[in-house]
Amino acid sequence: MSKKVLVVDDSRISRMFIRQHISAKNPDWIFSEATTGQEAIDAINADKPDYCTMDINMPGMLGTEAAKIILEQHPDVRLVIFSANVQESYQEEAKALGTILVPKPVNEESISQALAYFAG
Amino acid sequence: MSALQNVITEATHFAVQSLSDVIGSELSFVLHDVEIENFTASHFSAQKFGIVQLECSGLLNAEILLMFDIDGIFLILKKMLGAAADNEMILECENEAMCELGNVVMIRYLSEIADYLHTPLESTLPTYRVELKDKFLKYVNSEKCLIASHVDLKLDDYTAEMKILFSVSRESFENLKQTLH
Repeated sequence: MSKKVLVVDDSRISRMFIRQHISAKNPDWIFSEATTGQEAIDAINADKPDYCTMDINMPGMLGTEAAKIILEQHPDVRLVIFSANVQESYQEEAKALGTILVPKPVNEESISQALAYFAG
Repeated sequence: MSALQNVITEATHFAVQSLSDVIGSELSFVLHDVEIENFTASHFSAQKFGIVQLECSGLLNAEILLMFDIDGIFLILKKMLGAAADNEMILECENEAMCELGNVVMIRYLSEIADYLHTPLESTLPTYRVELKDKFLKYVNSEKCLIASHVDLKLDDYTAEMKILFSVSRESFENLKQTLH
């Protein structure tokens, strides 16, 4: 069944890699993109996706702040934090939000982790 | 090896590993020097470098610079963007791709240091520029304390120069040494 995925990252390259890797395994999934936390919140309110990948370091609010708002309002969205920032403090924050931190870079291994989390 | 040198060496290894992950192939490399304070220009052979820079704050107020010689950058981007990327595409994407690559590599480096110090470190978004060695070396001869990792990276038949420079304020440097003591 086709799923909707929101990819949130300020880097065009990173968004492109995430889409490429996910769609290689799930060619019928539908993608949308956001480049800031606020854009992500607006996009999720407008067109609720099934899944979301969220960067941390972006202009404006941090991805973890946006994730907190999104998960409070839409607890059934499966969201993963995608970041190179694997400091223990961020991993604990992701855990407290009820999600996981998948280490960047975007490659087959990290995408597999995200897809496994999406699948529950 | 001092505790600081040990931390920087380990963080540099993690940085190179994450570069391998970005470009999708295991890189062979030699970390031939980690300089703490005694920064020497003689380790810079190439004339022009691509530099990704970000700032970190927290226990440490510092600038981190990731540098590659310009020919090395071309080969790294070719691997990162895939065989289908032609020269035109590489040039078009250079700024964005280097910011993304630099962000991943430097944040991984910084995460290692932050966890070692048991303190969170914040960082800014990266910027990228290309600079001549002479201009750059004028900039680094400043009041700040420099911690430099000098790496030789094997990219096919080419050996690229990779540097990670941690430019720390005197106060932060003292904090760092005390925390590691």
